[in-house]
Amino acid sequence: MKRRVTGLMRKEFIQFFRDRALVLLILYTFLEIAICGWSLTLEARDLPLGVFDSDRSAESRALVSAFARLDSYKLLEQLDSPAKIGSKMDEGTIQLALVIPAEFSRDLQAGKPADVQLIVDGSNSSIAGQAMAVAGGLMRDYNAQLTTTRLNRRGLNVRGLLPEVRNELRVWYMPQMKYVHFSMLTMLAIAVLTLGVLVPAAGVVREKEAGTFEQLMVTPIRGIELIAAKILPFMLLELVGLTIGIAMSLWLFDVPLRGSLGLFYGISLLMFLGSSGIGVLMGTIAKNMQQTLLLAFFILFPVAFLSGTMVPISNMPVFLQWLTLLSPLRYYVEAGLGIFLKGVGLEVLWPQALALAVLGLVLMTISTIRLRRSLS
Amino acid sequence: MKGLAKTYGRGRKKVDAVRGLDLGIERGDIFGLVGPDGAGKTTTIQMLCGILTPSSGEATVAGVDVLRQPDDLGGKIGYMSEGFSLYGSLSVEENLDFFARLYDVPAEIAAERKEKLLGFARLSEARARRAEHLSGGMKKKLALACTLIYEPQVLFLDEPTTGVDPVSRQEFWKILYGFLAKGVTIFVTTPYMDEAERCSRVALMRDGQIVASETPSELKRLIQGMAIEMVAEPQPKAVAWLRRAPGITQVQIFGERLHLLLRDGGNLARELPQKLEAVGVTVSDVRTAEPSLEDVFIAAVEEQRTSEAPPRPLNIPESSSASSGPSGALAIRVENLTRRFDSFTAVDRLTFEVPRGEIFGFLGPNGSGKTTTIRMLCGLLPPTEGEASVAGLDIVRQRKAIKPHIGYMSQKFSLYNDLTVGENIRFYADVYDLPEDRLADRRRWVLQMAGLTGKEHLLARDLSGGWKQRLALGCAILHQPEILFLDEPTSGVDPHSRREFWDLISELSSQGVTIFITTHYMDEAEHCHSLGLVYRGRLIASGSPADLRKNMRLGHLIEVPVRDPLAALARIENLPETLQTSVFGDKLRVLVWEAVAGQQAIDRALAEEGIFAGSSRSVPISLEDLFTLFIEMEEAGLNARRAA
Amino acid sequence: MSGVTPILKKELREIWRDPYTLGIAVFLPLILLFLFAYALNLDVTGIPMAVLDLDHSRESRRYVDAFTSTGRFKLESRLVSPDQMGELLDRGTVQVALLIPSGFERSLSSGGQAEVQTLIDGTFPTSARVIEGYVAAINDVFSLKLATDRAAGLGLAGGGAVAPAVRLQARLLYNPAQKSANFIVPGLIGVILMAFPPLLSALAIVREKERGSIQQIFISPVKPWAFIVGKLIPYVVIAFGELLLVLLAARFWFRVPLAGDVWLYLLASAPYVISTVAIGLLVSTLVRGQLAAMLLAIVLTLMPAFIFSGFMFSLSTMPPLFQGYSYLFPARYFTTISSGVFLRGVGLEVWWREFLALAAYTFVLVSLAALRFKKKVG
Repeated sequence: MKRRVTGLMRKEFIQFFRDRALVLLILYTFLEIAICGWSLTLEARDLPLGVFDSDRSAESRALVSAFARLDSYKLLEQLDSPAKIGSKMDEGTIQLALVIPAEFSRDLQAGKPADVQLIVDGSNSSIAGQAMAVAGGLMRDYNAQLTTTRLNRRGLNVRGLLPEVRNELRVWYMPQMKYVHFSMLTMLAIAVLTLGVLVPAAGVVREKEAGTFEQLMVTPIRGIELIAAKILPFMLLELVGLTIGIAMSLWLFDVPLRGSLGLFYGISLLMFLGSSGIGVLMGTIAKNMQQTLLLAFFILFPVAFLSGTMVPISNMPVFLQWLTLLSPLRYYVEAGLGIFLKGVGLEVLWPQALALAVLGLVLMTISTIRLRRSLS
Repeated sequence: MKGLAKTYGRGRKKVDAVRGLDLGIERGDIFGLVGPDGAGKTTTIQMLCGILTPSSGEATVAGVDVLRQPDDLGGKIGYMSEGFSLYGSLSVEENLDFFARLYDVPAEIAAERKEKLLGFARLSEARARRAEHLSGGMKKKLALACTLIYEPQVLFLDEPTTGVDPVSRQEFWKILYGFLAKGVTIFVTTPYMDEAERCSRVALMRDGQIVASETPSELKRLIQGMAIEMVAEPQPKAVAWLRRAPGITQVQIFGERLHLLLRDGGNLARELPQKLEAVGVTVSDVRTAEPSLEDVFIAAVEEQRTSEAPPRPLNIPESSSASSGPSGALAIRVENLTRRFDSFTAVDRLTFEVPRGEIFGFLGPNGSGKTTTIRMLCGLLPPTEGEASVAGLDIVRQRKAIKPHIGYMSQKFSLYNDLTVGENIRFYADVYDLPEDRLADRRRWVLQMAGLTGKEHLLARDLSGGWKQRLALGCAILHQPEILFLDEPTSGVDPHSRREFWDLISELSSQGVTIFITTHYMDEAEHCHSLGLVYRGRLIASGSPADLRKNMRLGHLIEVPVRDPLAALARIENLPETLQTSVFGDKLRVLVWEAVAGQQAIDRALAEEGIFAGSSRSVPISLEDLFTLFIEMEEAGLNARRAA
Repeated sequence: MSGVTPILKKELREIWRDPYTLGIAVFLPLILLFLFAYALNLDVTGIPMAVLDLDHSRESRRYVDAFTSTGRFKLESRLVSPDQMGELLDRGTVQVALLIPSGFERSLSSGGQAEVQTLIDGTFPTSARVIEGYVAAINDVFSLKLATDRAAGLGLAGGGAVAPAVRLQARLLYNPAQKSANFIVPGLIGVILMAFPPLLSALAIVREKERGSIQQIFISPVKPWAFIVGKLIPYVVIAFGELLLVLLAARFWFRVPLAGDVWLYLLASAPYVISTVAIGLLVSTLVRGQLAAMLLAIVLTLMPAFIFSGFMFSLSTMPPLFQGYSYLFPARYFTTISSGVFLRGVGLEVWWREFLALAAYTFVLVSLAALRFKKKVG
């Protein structure tokens, strides 16, 4: 029996490496991960800012440079008329506009509140929100400084006079909040899912298309052996791929590894099981490679991006949240982020591991049954 | 065409698909191009149709320069490629309408032709049916109709009737004759030798070159020597001796008869029986036979081959006798085997037996249930009713135990195309748990048998039909099973390779392996010990080829040479005494119910018409004709029952 | 125009009778639309928060209320010991944990500084930043109120002594409701149109190649361009159908406001729609097998559209190399037009450049496809 399985596995390996289209696809997927890691971010950074300063005083210029110094903002140009604001916003040349009225410095010196307007392109609410939050923070600091200066001029010390709550913010797990780390890990998880599904599916369908399935069934090979042979070689390949991906993340992108790598590999194995299950299942449904690809892309694609990889699951509507419970990727991403960024172990992640194991077993069972049945 | 050539690829991988062809074809001719796989036939046709640019040379078709003005060909030529080029989801009628519109055939003319074609092709009732739901034969007829609807001057047909049942094949040619009468020139490639016989001229192509190009009769005369048939016992000994004997170019096994081709007739023919008796072989029933086109072909090919490389030893090495299992005398026993799919009965109460060591041919047109039956016998599909045992084991209850005893070759050759020869062998060896010590032996054996020694590194995909076939056979018998199931093993393989294959099969059979083989090539039936003819899931005839012939009282084949075959055809084919009439080059072959009455009717009809004819004579009926008879009778019976 | 009509009719018939293709063309776009529009919710509200209040005073409770009353934070649990904080964050049960030490009220009432600590889960950087912003803002508002009240009590009111010197008024343009769907859907339309029509049209020709029926076309008198046009039209019709379908769903189901003119939008989409189908046709002239056609189509269309069109990941934040890369793909131009019309209600005068680019693109693609299609085998 061992002989049969090794023979089968050898054949699968040979066929896989000779299938140029598939190999290219895999390489391309890795490339995509790298590209995404490098370029994608949902942060607000270098947002183009236009300024209309009617005052042109030292104070207004000081305010403008305070804004320009922010990371999120990029001072693009000084505008010379309010009308330009509208048109440039429409064009999309600027996304923010700071309007300083002529009375600005006068009001400040008189001790009256000086009003300043920030016009924000609200299209992308996330970016708009971030931009406004940053502006708000800047204003508060600016004002606090001004207040201190004023009170000092009056000979008063702020401290000890007025109550104040200081909130020390500490960001856990990713103090610099580098989006790259997050996206690399999620992209890796997506790659594992995609490849883990596609490759076994291709293996099964290839057999069907060539018509060699019948031949195999006439031989003493048993159903389980066949499935094992279809899956084991690919799990091996995936391990290799995973290792490459992890290496890329750790060395090229400085992603921290705070938890146990061994645990990650263990959970990854469970993930392989689950995704292979999906892959074999797809292989039994599709009749040829085209259908397989279609099925794969249009099921995997949404699943990949909706399992907490772009948007936290808690953001999604409730019924979709329930749906994600069925997605192995969701658990894998949680486990991955947990192990790499949070440094937690099995005592926290056991629900994820369990879910992956259960999903994997169920999927494998269904596909085995279907496989056996499809042969008669 | 002159010097027509096509080279593919670059550098090391350069393949000269077609090398410098020179040919001229007359208007109104039927021209046949025959040759093994990969000879360059399809490439030639594609160049002539203007859809493939030649590397050099030129050609003119219907007055159009193919090289410089291929666009002008539109509407003048028709082309039927291998495979089906219909639009599956469109109905029969819609397909015809599409082609008519595509070629700008005026509406009324198109409608008229459409009706005529539908009638000819017997597709009128199916006009609203989707093309994908038609049977293979009907699809081919429809494809032909679609090219005829715009009445091209030249018709190119690439293996148009491959895989089609004999009845449809006849109908196909009938349609063609109808249009031939209008002066259409037909260029056809075919693996069927009997179709080649119908052509006014035949060219043999091999390795990109035309080896010979004459009328069929001329070609036959080209073969030096004569053909003899005999019965010899014990056959293996006789065959072995004959193969090594000088002066004998071909030895072919047809069941119990041997068909020999001698280099020159006369002396050798007379001395042969004596010589055989001298080595202990009993010879009986010696007759002279006419060389068939297949003989011509193979002789030509052989000559080519011998001039290129030394002939492969066709000696199949002795392998230790097939493992003895709990089989006993009967290898396969089938009783009332039935399989239904929903309301459709694919296999209907089959009952037959196959003794050990016999070659059993399971014949029938496509869709008659052959593959389903094999699947059941191999344990791939459970029967709905009835029972069967293979190697003494019940196919339902002892399914798993059967597996090591059987070998199976599926229609698609069941090789892994992306694996090499060696890797394929290795795989099957692993799968059947062949012990390491025997592995090397068996591997060598298979390679030698298939003629692939030294070629282990080639990808299975790159092998041509014949090699693949032998390799697949080798892999199937790697584990020395007692029973071999072969499902259409010779489809798409050239005649030479087919012959070699049958030699292999016979050799295996003489070593005690039982062989259950399905095929739709009726002429291969001759090679089998006994036959079963299935039609629509039912066994409508069974027995040995000789028995079937003897017991068939009805049906005789009359051959009559005529000057104007098409006119003669028109006159004869509707006579009540005739069943089927076909043109074979310059002769007419008529299948009649009764020999004497039929012959008389034919002679009378031809005389009335003033069509000059040579003397008609009775010729041995081929198995294919026999089966056509059986099928027609079955159909008649069915219709009668339906009407009742 | 001979030849175009029969091919067109045949193609339409085939498509109609192929439930598989129809299904893809109609259902999948809708499914994608629904999935993405619902799930890609970038708004950050209802953030699960845990509070460890060691002070248990009125002031501390008021502080906590300051957070929960905004609706952005959802109080998940009140903790009793510091270790719990770490655990809940680790598990992901909460994203924010607030620690108020004892002595909070006392420090404040004496006019001094009180310190609290907030732990934020940084694994989702985008959310984390926003949360940071919220926390800081809420905290400062609270402090300011305290200070102002005290200052008033001390008679220091009057004059902007403690009031903010500069008041920043933020005004939102274009998406007042701040629904992320309003932002995502216009771009998503572009992505969806890039997903299916190219695939369908690419397979259309390749299928005929594989089936062999294309050889019949080769030998017929039909001209290459007639064939391409005949194949193109049905799929353009389908693509337009998809566009309408998605548009209707966007307007009436998701209630994404369309600030601009709908007819203008349809006009602007025309070259884009045609270009998506043309890409597919071009791909099919390049490859031989269906599998390769699909792979190439997806690589050339879907991936770049999703990542580089600007529909979700803003292009300005990408490295310049990729920004340049994005100019190769029509989806980028369309997203600009689409979001322009939807969100800002602007017309041709703003995006005429993109429109021209699309038109040019389309023309080039169709011509290339027609030129590449030779009536030859191999």
